[in-house]
Formats: sequence, C-alpha cells, structure tokens
Amino acid sequence: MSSLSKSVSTLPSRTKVLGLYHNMLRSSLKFDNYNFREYFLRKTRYEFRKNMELTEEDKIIAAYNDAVKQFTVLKRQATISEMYHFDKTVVEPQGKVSGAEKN
Amino acid sequence: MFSRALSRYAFSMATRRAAIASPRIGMMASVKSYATLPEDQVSKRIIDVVKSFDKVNSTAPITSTTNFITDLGLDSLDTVEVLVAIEEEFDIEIEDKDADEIKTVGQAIDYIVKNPDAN
Repeated sequence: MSSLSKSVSTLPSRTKVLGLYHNMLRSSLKFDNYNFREYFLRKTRYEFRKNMELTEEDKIIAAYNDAVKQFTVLKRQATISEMYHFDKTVVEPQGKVSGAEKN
Repeated sequence: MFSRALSRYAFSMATRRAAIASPRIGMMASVKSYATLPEDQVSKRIIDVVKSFDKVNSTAPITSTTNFITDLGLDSLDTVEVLVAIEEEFDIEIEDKDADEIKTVGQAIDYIVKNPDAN
C-alpha cells in the first residue's frame, strides 16, 4: 500500500498499475455519499481505460504519477467522508450496497 | 534458598500466565473455525457476483475452472473490478500480491474459503 502512493521515475510494473487501480476503486467505494462514490468510481475507471493504450514510456510514467497524486487526495477525502453521515438518495437500494450491483 | 524461591516464583508466574493465556487461545481458535465459510456457499456467491458483472456473457456456464481473461473475455482492469466486487460481497480486503495470483473462479473460491475474515 505504501509503495503504491509513491510516484515513480521508471516504468511502473503491471502489478503496480493494477494495484493502484485496485486501491483507487476500494477508496472510492468507501464514500458513503452516492454522488461522490459514483463520481470517483466513474472517473477512476474512465482514466485507467483511457490510458490503457499508452505506449510511450514517459507518458505512462506521467499518467501513473498523476494517478498516484489523485489517489492520495482520494484516500484522504474518503477517510474524511467517513466522519460524516449522509442520507441515502432515492436511486440507491436501501439495504447493503454490493459492489456487483454498481457495475 | 534465594534461587529456589526465585525459581518457584518464576514457575508460579508461568502457570498463571498459561492460565490466563489458554482461554484466550481457545476463544480465538473457535472464532476462526466459526468464521470460515463452507465451500459450496462460497462458490455459489462468487459465481453470482461474477455473473452479475455486466461485461460477462451470462449464457456461458461459470465453473471453478473458468478463467476471467481467456473464458470470460475480460481484460486485466475488469479482473480487478471483479475482485473488488468479491471483496465487497465477503467484506474483506484482498492483498495486492494475492490479487495478482487469482486468475480463475476456482482460485477466488479457494482464497475466500481459506480467509477466516470472510463473511
């Protein structure tokens, strides 16, 4: 986890990129607030998919480092959001929200 | 004399510590065995999670040998998403090094069955 929140100067490995994606999705799911949660999930999925086709080394490194920066913000905000209560919106199922339903 | 007293003291401390420690060990063991889920339930729940993933073609049968990438046509990012959905379902966190190893439905079932925190 700690190695994932550091920026890199060489090409990040496949495991590292997937690990970062994994952690970003997990942090996004921590948001109690439907709108924040869905926004961060959507944004994370979109950004990683968009950068999937990158082949130039410096662009991959830049994209990775950018994602690391966003991950630190995401992690902090997710933790902060856990300190507050949000009422469920009408579009949400009232029981436990499972990850599978949101895909 | 003094050393004898000391050793007796050490002995009594040891037994006392053992007496304190033993019920705790017993409790932990029972919690652990209680928390491990039966394999048939786990496999049913995992298959349901995988089926509900919208990029999975639901007509294809999903068994424990189903590979996320070669059989279900998912890519590496989708595989991570399926694992996150499984994490949510069982209320656990899969370590990155373990997540890397899970490539089939069967491996995911194994991981959950062996994980005492899964529920």
